[in-house]
Parts: sequence; structure tokens; C-alpha cells
Amino acid sequence: MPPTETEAGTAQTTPPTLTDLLALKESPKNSKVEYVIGGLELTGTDRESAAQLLADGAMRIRCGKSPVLTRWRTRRDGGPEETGARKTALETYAKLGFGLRDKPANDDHLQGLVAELLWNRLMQERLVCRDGRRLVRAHSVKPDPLEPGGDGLVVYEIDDGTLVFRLWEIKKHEAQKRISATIWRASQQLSSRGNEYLAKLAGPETVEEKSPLGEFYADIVELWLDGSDRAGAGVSVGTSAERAPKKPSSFGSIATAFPHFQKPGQIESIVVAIPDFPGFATRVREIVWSGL
Amino acid sequence: MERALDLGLLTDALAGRTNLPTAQQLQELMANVEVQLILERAEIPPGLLDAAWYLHAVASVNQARERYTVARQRQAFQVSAHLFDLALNQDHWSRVDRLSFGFAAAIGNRRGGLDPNATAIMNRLQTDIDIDADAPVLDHLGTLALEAGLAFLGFQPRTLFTWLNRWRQQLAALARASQLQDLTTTAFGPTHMVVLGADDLLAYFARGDRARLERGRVRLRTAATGQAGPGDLNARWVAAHLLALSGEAEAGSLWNPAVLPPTVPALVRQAFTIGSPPVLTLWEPQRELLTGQRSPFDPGVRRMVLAVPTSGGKTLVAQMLAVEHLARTNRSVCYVAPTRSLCREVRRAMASRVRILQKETGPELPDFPTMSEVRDALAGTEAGDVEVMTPERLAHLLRHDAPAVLERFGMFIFDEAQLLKESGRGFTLESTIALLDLLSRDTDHQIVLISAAMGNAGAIAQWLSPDGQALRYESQWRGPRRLHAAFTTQAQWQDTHAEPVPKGTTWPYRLITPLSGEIRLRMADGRTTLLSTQDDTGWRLVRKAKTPELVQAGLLSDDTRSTKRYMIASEMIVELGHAGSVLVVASTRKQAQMLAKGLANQLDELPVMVPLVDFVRLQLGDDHPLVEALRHGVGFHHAGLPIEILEALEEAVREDILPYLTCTSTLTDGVNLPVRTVVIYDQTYEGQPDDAQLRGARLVNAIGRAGRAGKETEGWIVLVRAAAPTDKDFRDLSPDAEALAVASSLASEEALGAFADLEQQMRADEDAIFRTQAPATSDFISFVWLALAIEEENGTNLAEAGTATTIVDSTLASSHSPEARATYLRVAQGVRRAYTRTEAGARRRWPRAGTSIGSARTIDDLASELANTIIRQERDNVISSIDEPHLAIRMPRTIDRLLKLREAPLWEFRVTPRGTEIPVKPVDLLTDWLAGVSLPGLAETHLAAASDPAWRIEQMVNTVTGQFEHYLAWTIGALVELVNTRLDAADADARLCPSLGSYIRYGVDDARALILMTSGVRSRRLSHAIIGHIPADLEATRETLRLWIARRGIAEWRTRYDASASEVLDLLDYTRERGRSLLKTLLETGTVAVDLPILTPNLPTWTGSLTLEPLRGEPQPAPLAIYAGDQHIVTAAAQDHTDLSAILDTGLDLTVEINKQAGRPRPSLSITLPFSDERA
Repeated sequence: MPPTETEAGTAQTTPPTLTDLLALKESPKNSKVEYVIGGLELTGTDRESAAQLLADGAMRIRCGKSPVLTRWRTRRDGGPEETGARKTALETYAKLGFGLRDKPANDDHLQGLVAELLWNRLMQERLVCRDGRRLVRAHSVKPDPLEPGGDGLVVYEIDDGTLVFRLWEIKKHEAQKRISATIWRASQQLSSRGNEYLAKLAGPETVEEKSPLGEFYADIVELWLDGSDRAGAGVSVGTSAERAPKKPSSFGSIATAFPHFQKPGQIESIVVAIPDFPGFATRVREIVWSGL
Repeated sequence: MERALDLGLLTDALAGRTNLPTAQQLQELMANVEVQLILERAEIPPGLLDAAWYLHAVASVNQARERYTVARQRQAFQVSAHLFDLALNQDHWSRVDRLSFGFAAAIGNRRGGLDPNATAIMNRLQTDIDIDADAPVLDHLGTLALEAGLAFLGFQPRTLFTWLNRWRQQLAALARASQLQDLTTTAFGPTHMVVLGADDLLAYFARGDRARLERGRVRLRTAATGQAGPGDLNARWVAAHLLALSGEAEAGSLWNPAVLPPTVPALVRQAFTIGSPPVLTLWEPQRELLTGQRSPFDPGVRRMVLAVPTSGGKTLVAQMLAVEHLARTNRSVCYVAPTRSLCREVRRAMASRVRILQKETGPELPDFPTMSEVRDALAGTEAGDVEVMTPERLAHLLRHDAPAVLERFGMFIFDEAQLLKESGRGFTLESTIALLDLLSRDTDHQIVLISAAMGNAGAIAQWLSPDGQALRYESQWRGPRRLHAAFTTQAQWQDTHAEPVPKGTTWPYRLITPLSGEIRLRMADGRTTLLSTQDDTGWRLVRKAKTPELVQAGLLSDDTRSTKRYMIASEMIVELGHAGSVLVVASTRKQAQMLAKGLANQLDELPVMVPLVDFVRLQLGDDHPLVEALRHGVGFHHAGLPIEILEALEEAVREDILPYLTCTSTLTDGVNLPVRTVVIYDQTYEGQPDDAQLRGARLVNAIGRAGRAGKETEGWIVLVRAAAPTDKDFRDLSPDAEALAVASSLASEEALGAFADLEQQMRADEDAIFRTQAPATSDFISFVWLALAIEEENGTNLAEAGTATTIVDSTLASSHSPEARATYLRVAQGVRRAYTRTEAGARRRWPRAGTSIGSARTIDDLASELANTIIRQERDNVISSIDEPHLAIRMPRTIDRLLKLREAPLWEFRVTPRGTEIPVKPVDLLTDWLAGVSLPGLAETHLAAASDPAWRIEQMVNTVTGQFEHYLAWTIGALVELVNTRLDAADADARLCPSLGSYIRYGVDDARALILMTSGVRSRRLSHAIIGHIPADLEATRETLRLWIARRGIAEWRTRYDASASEVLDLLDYTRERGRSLLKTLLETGTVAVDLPILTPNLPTWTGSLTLEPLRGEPQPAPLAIYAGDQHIVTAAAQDHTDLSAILDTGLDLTVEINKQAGRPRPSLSITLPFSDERA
């Protein structure tokens, strides 16, 4: 089953996958939390490609089928600047989470947004997981990550056709504290706010009476509270390379927060640790602004 | 505590869910939070929110999937709404959280059947909804869907039309700039579809546009399913719920033919959906009633009994019945409410509905009108389509011309029907209903009884329809939850100490015991939670003792040294004010006043009170204790204050200006004044009459005021008792059906005793019926006599005993027991015999007086004497101008004799409540009253010997209301009528001032002032002031006066007559053109125009679009003016103000233009509804 909620619009060229660019490295087999770490060596043209990929993806989500997207790309690629209402419209889309040059979003928000864009892209590219789960649907991230709470839901199918899900919390980490503290905070937040995220989906995802996924969404909160085998949790962190976790124990707090998820792959984590993550986030923003 | 804290409900909602608090734990957690709310320190444990979201999820799953039962989903909505509501009381949430919890709570309440709580939640969170006209919507797009969803759930179209319009236009501009039809597919698509979808739903619910409903559903579906754009969980969440709600709420929509029959015109529906207050959907009990097996709109349903609690929406049901009746028939509606205040409220509410239909409500008129006023009322062209009156007035109209009453009115609605059981007035109501029932047994007249405190609706329905055909509806539903608490003090005996009293010879010692305070809260499972004061309260119980021994029993309390009970109570009550307005109901005026003083002592002065304080100072003088209390935000309300003051206090509570009001049951029985917290100050005293105690229906009325529907989700009821706490405290706060059973006042032991005495006297002398003094027997005799007179007019042979049986059997009293019925029958037969013995003219004349038959006979004799005197004087040419009120009241010995009748209130004034008497001549006081002297003026002039200003005013208020506005107006009116009938029969030219009763009733002495007072201008001061400025030769007709006053305009009313805001409102209503509704024309044709009070050449030039709004910088109510941006163009005429305001109040999107009219000197103001629904 192909992803149902991918980005709108049509890309002009086929970009390299982010997964390839980040060179994700999987966790050891005996790790309680199944995780990947990547981006440690992301420099040069790969780094620029990744930034371009994210900026373009972000604008595609924002602009949908509006010709604004084309105008943005044209401008980004050196075309003329828009004026008047068209420029205002363009800015309206671009400023979500990024802000504008004269009023940029603060760094925390920007880095949080880039962490979400990274996660979202990776989720959509990962069609088959290590344990054989096949991607059914990755909910797209919020355009503006100002709100707290569970950040992303991904639905998979396992061999017998059963649907399972992972609820993710995505954070950026740039504090002086260790990354395990951010993972712990994300786990706690997911544990306390996961209900809200799933509860808010119960209505919209069951509107279509005949949708095959509806049955699954009608149960999703029950599965989450039951600690069912069909549920799972994930924490994704965007950070700088030097802050990358050194050992599996850095992920321990996820298991502690979700003790009922015992099966392999029920608890996951992604750490994208890019050299100078704040600089990378700023670069993504510059690309977005270059289209204005 | 009730409903959502009910263990059964929690258990069903959770259905054994693990990994969450159990039902019992949840109940305890919720109860703890409720307790914390009282202490103003709410902390929400995480488990509560987990449970809230879980239950919300359960409730949210599309019902079509049948994943959960419908009943469970409804319970889950209710409980989760309560949990989110509690969570909102905690302080630290972000704006997004508050909006999320707010939407979840509001939708839970709407979809859980607790609609008014959704409005309350929206109102509480209104500051989180960004409605600033200058704020670009793009700055809060991230939360706009939540804001729009929450705003929509408030169901307040007046503001919602404006907000949605503002958001819609800005989003449309963005779509245009994005070269899209709408923002679908973009990140803003779901939000855009939520705003447009909500706007579509509003167009359906407010104006019945079904195509918009369908389009709204399509739009909301695209947002909910993600087709409108990516991401934005909140927009999808909101959209899904609004989509589901559109179907559920349609079931309660006034556009649904199952709710209001298809024959009801669209305009009638709009009278509710965009009238004031707007009603988009019905509350559950209203819906149940209207869609039940038998529709109350079925003309075949001739009798109805509706028992619905306060805040259960009974007012709206009554309005709907009335409006539907007006639309269906050509007869009017008679709405009967027990007090003048309630009548005013009903009249105001009814007017806003019926005016859209170009119908009118009649003005406030006297309880005992004169014959000519009766004629006008029953056949006059000025008569309203809905007349609101007291039982006394309806009874009086029936006494004068019952056939005309039935000809004029097709429906009779009796509100607060539990009044039936009150001694005194109860039988007036009972006999009026009985008579109407008797006279309309074979006609299509409809009689509706409504009550919030009727435990035996079945028995009452049986009374009205012994064949079981009456429609009976009972419901216990109410919007806001209730929390019951009881406060007492606890003596800390172990800390008692003794103190010697230096000069105490009999009691040389005092034993002093500290008191702590205890509040017990009742949990849903019957348990109570105790909150105790922790520190020394400073409250002391001091007892007199002969020895310093600390442990002694049976000692007397030293009341001068002990802390006063009212002080203790007020220190506790002041702590409740943080949650909202507090009403303290006391048993006596004195208690109410003391409590107010106690509260005021603890509170700082409140600057916002200044205008009210100034108003009261003017009315009562600087020294009145109410003035000082009000400075601190505390009022007291009892029958010893003038009605203008009482209404100002009530308005200040409604407007949330006055935080504390102490009162007697005069307020809770007579005025619909809901508040956040009701405190029942239950300090009984020796010799307190049963009627004066806060029990049964009276208590239900009082506690029914707790929790304002649409304003808050919870009301608190706190019982304050001095006695030791018992379980009975809480039982007393929830009277059962038996305690609320409505029985005839004739069935009381006292009444039955009076009947037994009368029977005994009748055995000796059948004329004893003329002498009986007991109110119950006297009222019964009057009723039977009147019914006989009506039967006689109808040609019934009164020699037959069966007539009396039919009359007796029409009463509720006769249905209670066969023995009592037999007694009533024997007395009634005696009355019938006396009736037939009496001269034919007299026997039909007497009942018209409305007094006992004995008193009527006396008045008739007095009238005969007066008529003979006048005829003699006329013959001798020595007659004075007796048609002039000041001379008419000086007819010799008249007032003194009337004041000696059984019905007369005591004419008595004293220096202090128990002091010596102050002699005041009735005619002197009456002269000043007619001349327009103010109440404080009357008090100062005639009661100067009483030094306490409050006591002076109280006595004067008692006299004015009891004597002038009621008794003397009534009996003198009846006397004048009888005198003039005789003068007419004797061909005399002279007439005793025909309107004398009305002049006395209203305290005016000019025919034009009387027109004002009987046309809705309530202020006697204002009427006198206007008449003082009016040209002497101005004709005394309503229309001439209206035009003259209208031309002066609001500004001049203020400067020349010193008119207050409420007086201006009365004048605006008086000067409007009756029988015209600009709103009706606008709704029907899409456009409306009125002439502007300016000559076309004088119009300034302007550019840009025009707005119609209150004149800037003027106090409310300000004239309406037309502006072009900041430029003032012209002010609309005062006579169009009310009509134009009704249009503005709808919140509809309007286009305003000024048209210069060819061939006409004045331009016109034109208002149109935009052609397209999406002007952007």
C-alpha cells in the first residue's frame, strides 16, 4: 500500500533520498530501543542537498496546489521578486515556523521545525522497517511546530495485514545537557500528551464510514492505553553531531516511559546529528527566504 | 454535586477501562478539584486529563461505526466535558491548551445534551479568541480553527456573524493572492474550510438556508478527512466535530419541521433564531417536548402542564407556544406571571420575539383597571397581541367581562403555577384558572400551566382535564451543575477559658469558647467532605457563668459579647465571591440588611459602583444604609425599597457590576435573577410564620438561581445554619416531589377550619357569608358569586343546585378529598341561595369590585351615598370640579371608610418599629403622591418624626405599594365606577374623576402623564418632568405625545428631563412606531429604508462606505448615527432607534447607504443584506 498522505505538488527533479544523504546507522541488535543515528558526516553538497530537500518539501506542504509554489521556486532559482498582494501571500506561507527576514522565528522554533521536517521525510522514505512492517501512512507534521504534544503518527501493516502504529515525539536538542535528557523529556511528553493527539484523531479519521483505516482509528486510543502489541512509541531528535548519543543507554528513558511496549520495534528512536545543526536549520530557512 | 460526578455515569462512561483512574477514583479526584475550586486553588492531577482525552476519544468515534453504544458516547461526552471544564480552572495552561480544552469541553456539552454549558465555556474563553478587528487573521492562523470552532459552539449569532465574516474576508483575500478559489490543498486549507463550514452552518441555523447546510457539511468533511490540506490536526479535529454536530443539532433546529410544524412561517422561526436572545437549537427538554408523541402545537391540545426546573428553558417554550399561536390564530395570548417584576421581564423577552412579526406586547397596566380601561384592554386598538399580567389583573378582567376576555385571548399561559398553593394569592390564581376552564370547556381556548417547583404535575393535569387529555411534560434537566455545601460553626470546647466580669453581680464570669468554621460538601454518592478553618477565626461563643469552672452545661449565651452570627456568615460568604456573583437569601429584611453590612465591612470600596451609588443617593438620600453598603459592592434587596432601586440592583447583578446582593424571598420568588452562588441564610426565629420559611417551592425558587445558564457551568448553593450539622441539611436543599406537591390553598388546615366555622355560622344565619373575615372562605364566596353571576348572564337557571356543584368541581380544592368537597359544596349552595335572594342589579354588580362580597356591598352603599350627594350638589349648583383628581380624593369620609374594609392594609406609621405612632392623614399624603413628590420627599415631609432614614423610606414604600399602587387604586377605582354608573343612570352631568384609581395607582395627576405611565414609561419622576415641559394645549393622545417627545431626541431627554439610561430606553420604546418592524421587512425583502431627520441639502459630502452605529462618545443608550469612517454624517431619528437597534442586534452583515430621494425633502437611510453569502 503506498503512502496516502505524501506531499502535494509535483517535483521537477527527483531529489536524492534523505535517508541516503544521512547515512543512517542502525542500533545494535540487543538494544531495548530500536534506533538509528545519522547525519554525522553531512557536509558539503550533501548537506546543501538535504537543506534544499527540506526547504522545498516544507514549501510544498504549505502551498499545496497554489501557483505560489512555482513562483517561490522561480524566485529561489534567481527569478524576479514578487510585489504587492502576491508577495504578501508568498510571505504568509513562508513565515510559518520560519518567520520572515525582518521578524525571524526564534532559533528554538526554527530548529524544532527542521527536526520535524527531517523526521517526516525519513518516515515517508522508510517504506519497510527493520522488523518487516510496511508503511501505510505517515501523518504529515504541523506546518508550525509551536504547539506541544505528540508530533507524528505513522501507520504500518504487518505480514498478516494487521495495522499497527507508532506515535512519535520530535525534539531538537541543542542544550548543554546530555541528549538523554532531551530523550527523557520527549518520552515524558509523549506519555502525557499522546492521549490528546490520538483522541483528536478519533473523530476525523472515522468520518469516512467505509474507509478501511477507520476501523483501526476507532480503536487507536484503546490500543495505546492497553499497551497493545499493535501500538508503539518513538522519539526523534535533531541535534548537532557532537551531541550524538554514544551508547544505547541514552535511549533508556523511552523504555522506562513505556514499560508495556516490550516487543522488538515497539519503541523506536531516530537521532539526526548533523555537524552544526543550528547552522543547518538556518540554511534551510535561508533557502525558504531566498524564494521571497 | 450531581450528574457528571455520579458514580453510575462514570462507570458506564469508562466501561472498565484499565490504565486510567477507576470510576471511583475519578469521582474522588473530581470531587477534590471541586473542593479546591471553592478554595480557589485548583490543581488538576494528570490522571484526570488522561481520562478526559480517553473519554473524548470514545465519544468522538463516528457513531455510524457502532464501535461504542450511543448511550456510552453521550456519557463520555458529558464526563469529558466536565473534566476539561475543571481543567480550565488551573492557571498555567498555554493559550493553545486553553482553546483545545475549551473546544473539547464545549463540544462535549453540545453533543452530550448540555447545550448551555457550551455557551458558558465559550464566554469564559472569549479573551482567547482573537476578534480584534485590526488583528490580521494571518497572525493567528495556527489557532484559528480552534477559535472558530469554539466561537461557533457558543451559538451566539450576534457576535458570530461578525467574527466569521471578518475571518472569512481575510482568508478569501489570501486565496485570491494565492490564485486559488479557496485555500484547499494549502496548509491553510483545513482552517479555511472550518471557517467557511461554520459560516454555512450558521446560515442554516440562523436563517434556515438548507443549501448552505449541505455545502457546509461538504466543506467540513473535506477538512476533517484531510482532503482540504495537509497536517493541522486541530482543524481536522474541529471540522469532524462540527460535521457531526451539524446532524445532531439539526434535530433541535427551529428549521427542522419535526420541531416546529411546517405551517409555521419562516419569519416565526427567525423571531427565535435571530431575535433576542437568539436560539439556534433547542435544549434537550425543549426538544423532547416539541417532538414528543403529542405536539404542544397541536390545536387539539387544549390543556398543558409543564414542570421544568429553573434554567431548564421553560421561558423559551412559553414564548414558542405564544408565537406559534399568534401566527396560527387571530386571537391574542394572555401570559400570567405572579409579580410585576416577573411580568416586566416576560414582557421584555416576549417583545423581542413578537416584534419581528409586527406584533406587539401590551404595556404594564394596573391590576385593578377601571371600566373604561377594561374596555380598552379587551377591545381597544392599542391592545397588545401578547398581554402579560398578574393573576389579579386577569381575574379583574374576567369579573368585568368574561366573554370579552375569551373573545380576545385564545391562549392563557400561567407561569410559576406553584403559586396555587400560597395562602392568599393562591386562590386568586386557582379561581381564575378554574373559571377559564369552566368557561372554555367547549371551546378551543388553550390553557398552559408552567412551573419550576411542581411535584405533582399529574394531579394538576388531572384537575384541568379529568378525561386525561391534558399534555403533561416533566423534566429534571438543567444546564449548569450544582454543588451543595453547608456551613456551620464548631465550638472548640477544649480551648474554653474564663474571664471575670468586674461589675457582673448575677453573672460574674464569662466562659469564652473559640469557634471554627466548617463547610461540608456533598458528594454524588452521598458522602460529605469537610473543610475546616485552620487558624483562629476570631469568632467567639461567650456564655454567662456564676463560677469560672470551664465545663458547665445549660449556660445562657451572652449575645452582646459573642460574635454575631451575621458577622460569621459574612466572613464565610465573602470568600465565595471569587467565582462570581453571590446572592444571599435571608428570612427577614433585617437579616438581609445586617448581612449586607457585615459583608461591606470586609470589602474595599469598588470604584465601578459609583454610578449606582449616585443613583441610590438621589433616590434615598445620603444617609440610607444601602448607600454605604453599595460603595463596597454589596446591596440589599427587600420589599422596603422602592421598585426603581430594586430594579437597579437587579440590573447591576445581571451586568456583573454588583458582586454581592443580600435579599429576602421577595427577590427569589418574584425575579428571575440567576447568579453564580446562592447562600441560604437559614436563621429561623421564634414565631416565624410557615410561609416566611425557606422551604419547599420557596427554597426551590431560591436555589434555582444558582448557576447562570450560558454564563457558567456550575452553580454553588451554600446553606448557612447555626444549628449543629445534620444529614437533613442537604435533604432540605433538594425537596422531593411530596414537598413540592401543589395543593389548593383552600385545603390547608387553617382554611378548612375557617370553612367549618363558616358552616356553623351559616346554620344560624345564612347571611354569615357577607360577614366572614377569613380570607379563604371570603375568597371562595367571591369566586362562587362571580361564577353564578356569569352563569346568570349566560341564562343558566340558578334555582338548580347543580350549578353550584359544577362551580365547586371546577376548583383544584374539590379534587383533594370528598369530605372537603362536601364542605365547599354546602357553602356554595348557601352562596347560591344568598345570590338569588339579592336584588338582580346589585348581585351582578358586586363581584366586579374584586373584594369580598361583604365589602362589595359596603362599597356599593358608599357609591350610592356619594352619587346622591353629587346629584344634590349639582342640583343646588354648589358642585366643585370633582373630575379633577386632587378634588376627587377629598370626597368626604370616602378614603377613611375604604380603609376600614376587611381587605384594607393597616394605615399606620411609627417613629421606630415599636415606637409611637405618627399621625398622617391619607388625603394629605395622597395629594403629595399625585403631585409627583418623590419617595424620600414624601418620607421627609410626612414622617419627619422617624429619625432613621431607612425606616422612614421603608414605611413610605410600604404605604405607596400597599395602599396607593394597590388597595386604594383598586377600591377607589371600583367606587368611582359605581358612582359614575349611578350618575349616568340619574342623567347627571357631573362625573367623579373617572381615572382616579389610575391616577392613584401611578402617582400622577395629569391625563397625559397617565398615558405615558400606561404606555411603558415606568418612571413617575420622568412623566412629571415631561409634563412640566409640555405645551399646555398639547392634545392628550398617545400619538400626539409620542411625536412630540420623539422630536426632542435622546440628547434633549437627558439634558431637559435628566433621564437615566433605563428611562431613555423606556422613552425609545414609547416613541417607536408601533406595529412596524423594519427587521421583518429586511428579512423578508432583503432591504429596508427610513427617512433621516435632515434636509437633503444639509447632508455633508463623504467618501467610502457607511456604517450605522451608536453615536461615538455618548453614554449608552446612545443615538444611532451614520458614519463614513470617522466622519459623522447624520443621526437617525429617535422614533426609529428601537427598530434599527433590533436590526443591528442580529449581527447580520449589512450594507448601509443614504439615498437622496427625488421629490422628497429628506434623504433616506437604506439597509440591505448582501446578495452573496460570501462578500469578500
